[in-house]
Amino acid sequence: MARPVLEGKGLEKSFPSGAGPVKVLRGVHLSVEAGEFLPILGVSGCGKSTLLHCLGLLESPDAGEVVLDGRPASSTGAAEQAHLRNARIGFIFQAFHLSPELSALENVMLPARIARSGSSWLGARREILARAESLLDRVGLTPRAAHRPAQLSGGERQRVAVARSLMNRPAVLLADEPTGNLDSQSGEGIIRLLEDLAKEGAAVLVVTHNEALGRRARRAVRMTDGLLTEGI
Amino acid sequence: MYVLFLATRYLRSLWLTYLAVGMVFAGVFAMLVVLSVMWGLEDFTRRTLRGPLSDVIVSRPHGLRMDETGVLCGRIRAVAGVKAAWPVVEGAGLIRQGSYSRGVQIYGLDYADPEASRELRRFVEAKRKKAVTWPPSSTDGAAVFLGEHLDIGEEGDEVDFVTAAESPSYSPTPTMPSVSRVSGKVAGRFLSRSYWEDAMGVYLPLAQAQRLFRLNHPPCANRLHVRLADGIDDRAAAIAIQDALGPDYRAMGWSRIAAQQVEMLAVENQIIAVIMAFMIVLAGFGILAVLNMQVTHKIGEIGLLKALGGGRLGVAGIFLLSGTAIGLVGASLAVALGLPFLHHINGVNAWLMSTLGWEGFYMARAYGTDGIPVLIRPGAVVAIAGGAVLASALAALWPAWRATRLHPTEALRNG
Repeated sequence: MARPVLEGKGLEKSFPSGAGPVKVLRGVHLSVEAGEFLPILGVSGCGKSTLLHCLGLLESPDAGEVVLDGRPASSTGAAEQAHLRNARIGFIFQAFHLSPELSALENVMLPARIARSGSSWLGARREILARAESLLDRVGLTPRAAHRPAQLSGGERQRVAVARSLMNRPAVLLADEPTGNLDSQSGEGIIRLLEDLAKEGAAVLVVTHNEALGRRARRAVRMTDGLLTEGI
Repeated sequence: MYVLFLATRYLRSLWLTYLAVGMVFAGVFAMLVVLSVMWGLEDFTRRTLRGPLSDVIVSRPHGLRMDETGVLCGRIRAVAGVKAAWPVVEGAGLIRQGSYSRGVQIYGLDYADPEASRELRRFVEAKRKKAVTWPPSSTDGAAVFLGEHLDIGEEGDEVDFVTAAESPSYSPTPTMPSVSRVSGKVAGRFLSRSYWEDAMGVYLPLAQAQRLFRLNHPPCANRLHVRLADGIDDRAAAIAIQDALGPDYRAMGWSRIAAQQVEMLAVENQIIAVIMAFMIVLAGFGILAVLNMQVTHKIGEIGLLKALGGGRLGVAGIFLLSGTAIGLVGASLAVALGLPFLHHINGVNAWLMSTLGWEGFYMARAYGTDGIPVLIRPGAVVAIAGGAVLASALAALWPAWRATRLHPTEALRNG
């Protein structure tokens, strides 16, 4: 059995509310291998996104540990977590979250800019530009490289976001309802793209309430009352 | 690298950025122009207040004569910071032309000594508005220069000077003053810009003044004037000269003689500088408001940056750099346009007066200047521009801190 790329071990998370703390994750255990495409199913508000945020080091779990590449990640400092998010994790959001001031190509290049200081950026600029162009080509947006997000359709924006998530060659891709704002045709295109990326070796976690997606994956998990169950 | 890149893009995307740059520009430009004109006026007024006074004046109690002026001047020149020293005869008297006479203040100078006659020559050139041949010819008798506003005598006229001079030497018994008289020929008028000097002042060659005040047996003086090197404090130099000459002499710096007016001017300019600095502070608040609005506007993008691995320092850096850049651009523009504006301020004033029918600034009437005086102090230009950039950077601290405090998931949800 391959060694897991990303693991959640006994993750617990609660949020304060007027009626006392709401426990969203109740000791979640999850393990994802390289090349695996794993849908996380569940109804709205069941804690899928919170789990994804904890796994992506955007939220700190109240208890438990996130292990990335075999090393504890959620208990490290803020700077180390920021570095891991930049280098090892790619995010795809339901609302795309592209920077409106940047072109599609510049949006794709943003993680590489964040990763590099002034001199190393200047040294690697040509290489980065070539990679960003090839990623845009892969998602079929070469002719739209200079366009701003406002000039792109929803499906195109999400494809730019996918290309951006791949910029730093992450080990893990975390997609939070990536087809939620798309029509069925555009959504299908994005899912196929994610499946292809998994075949190429990335661990892909997709939070969705699309039951059909769960059926077509080799393995899927369901979130209910803050706990994960295997299968659909 | 992304800090500079995103700061530039964010700034360009928000039109309020240009308003913030405009506020810094206005603050620095106004401060630069107003203070340079005020310093110009201060400098002009100081020179006017000084009139024929030199940096330090040495006298004896009761106006007693000063013998061996050459020896005394040599001792003064040995004091650190002293550039030149020369004898002067000074006193009150009458000028007469026919049956008309006026009370005047008489100064006797050695016209041939370039240091002694430098101010008089400048005053004469100010009146004639051109360079003059110096020293003046004395073939027709003593060359006399009258103040611009002294209503007696024309150029070329013969005039007499009369004093009721007592013996300038100390005597234990009272002596009766006796009338003394010398003649001279009006060689021209001078303009010192000090109304009192221009209405009452008269210059005579040193030898005539010595004769008039009976200081010619042997030739001596009742004042020694001292010029200091640039940047030497006149009050400190006066103390050093006093120490060098001993208690029989009294040395006084010109700024102490005109202390009230000099300090009044300095305080006035300090108050104006403080008031003008508030414009920079106001611009800082403008930057704070603009960047704070930008943080609110960019919540989603800040969340995204954090999700993509942007650290706290990087996120804060975007807004700190934005504030600094606003200050830098605004201050640079203000200096780049302010200095040429100051250089051509009198041309602009003249254009306003002729084109718009506006009377422009009343400098000439109010201060007696030829135009708007300007004194640009390079150190102050750097301080004003640097202060504006610093204020801009400080104004960005709060928005930058706010941006770093945003939780990435909340920012992504609310953005």
